[in-house]
Amino acid sequence: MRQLQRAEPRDRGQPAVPKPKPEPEPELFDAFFIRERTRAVRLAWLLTRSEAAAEDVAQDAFLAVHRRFEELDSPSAYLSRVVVNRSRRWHARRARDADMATRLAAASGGDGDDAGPDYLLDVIYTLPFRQRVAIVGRYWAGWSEADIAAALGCRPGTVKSLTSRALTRLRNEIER
Amino acid sequence: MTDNSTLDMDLRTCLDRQAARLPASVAEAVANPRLATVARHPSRGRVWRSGRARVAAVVTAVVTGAGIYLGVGVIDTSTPAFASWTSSPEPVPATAVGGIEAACGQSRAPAILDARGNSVYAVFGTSGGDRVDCLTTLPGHRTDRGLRGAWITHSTAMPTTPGPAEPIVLLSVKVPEGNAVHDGRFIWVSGRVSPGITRVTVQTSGGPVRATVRDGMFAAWWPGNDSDTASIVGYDTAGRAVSTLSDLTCGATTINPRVTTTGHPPQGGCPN
Repeated sequence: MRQLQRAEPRDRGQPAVPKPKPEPEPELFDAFFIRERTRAVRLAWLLTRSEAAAEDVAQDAFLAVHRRFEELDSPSAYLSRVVVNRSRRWHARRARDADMATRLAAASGGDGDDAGPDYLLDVIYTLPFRQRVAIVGRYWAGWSEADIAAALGCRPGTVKSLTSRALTRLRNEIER
Repeated sequence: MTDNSTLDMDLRTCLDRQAARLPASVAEAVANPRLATVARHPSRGRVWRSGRARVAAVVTAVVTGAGIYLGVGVIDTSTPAFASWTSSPEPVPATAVGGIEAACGQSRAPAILDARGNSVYAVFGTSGGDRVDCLTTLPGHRTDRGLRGAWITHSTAMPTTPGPAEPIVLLSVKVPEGNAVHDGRFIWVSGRVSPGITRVTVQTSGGPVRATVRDGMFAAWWPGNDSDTASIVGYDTAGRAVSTLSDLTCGATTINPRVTTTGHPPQGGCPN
């Protein structure tokens, strides 16, 4: 049912002006942080498969959001995008420092090896990063193609293609 | 042939299970307010908590043009983290202050510095009235194992001067976190004290830690574990303990230390 707006008293023959709706109270950063923290760290965890990296990525992402919090229309979308970007950077850096990472992992049993055995997950981690984001976004985060496109900084059509290729590859790997 | 619905279901199940497999300690490292910098009396009436922000790599790279990750390859895992730490603060040479500001990404002079061994904890006021807490290597010293670059948090404004019923106001508590290989576990505390308090000691599980007290502020840090308990005791010029903050590491949703002040009823405390 449509709600009737109360007309303001007319003044000097001016038409009634609907009373503007009160602005919604802006969300404070602490509420945003509490609401999004688990999702952010889990997303980073699924994309990096490293506890330490997930922690770092999520924290850095929150810091990035905080810097621009007041100006962001959708802090959640921005947070997702930063988590994806930082996770991608982490992979790139890890690839560059492969020798060093191998030595550290050997010493610690640490980064990258803490996920435990899971065949399907192992297959997911063989996917190129953007395909992995598409799969994690669609099947874990419940993102739409537009959401995934925003997180990856690409067009929705590209997401469709990434997802399709990822699923084909997963299916092939499983059935091998 | 795997049909679409089976694959869809398997993917959802697998990813959900994997997400849930993230150890609680890691999720907590981001989520736990005890890790956060908490302003109990923010002057703008707004409290937010910043999680850990290891921005040292970026900050140091920008400031010095050097890449911080170059140091990763020489981590010495045989030495205990923060092995150079001392229970009493050490003087900071005036020539080191600029380097600390740079390492912490700040252009203002620190409000207080608490140096112990190779590492120094600094608290800065920002131009916006906020506060930055930072633990970094003292310029000219070796980097402690457990500290890569700097740990920095940015939080709400400095509180006002404490009143008589609460002579110690806690500004910031940071409890251990991080990767066991790369990062040492440490705790920092800082806050304001009323003019009557000239000495502050933090009673930790590992023994007393004498805090730095300067211009109405106190600061201290120590290598610590998550299970540590700590209380902060303020002493007057006659050496009498006049105020105690305890239960600093209670597992509550907010840090609410128990404050015991001579002549006043106890306040606060961890919720049951």
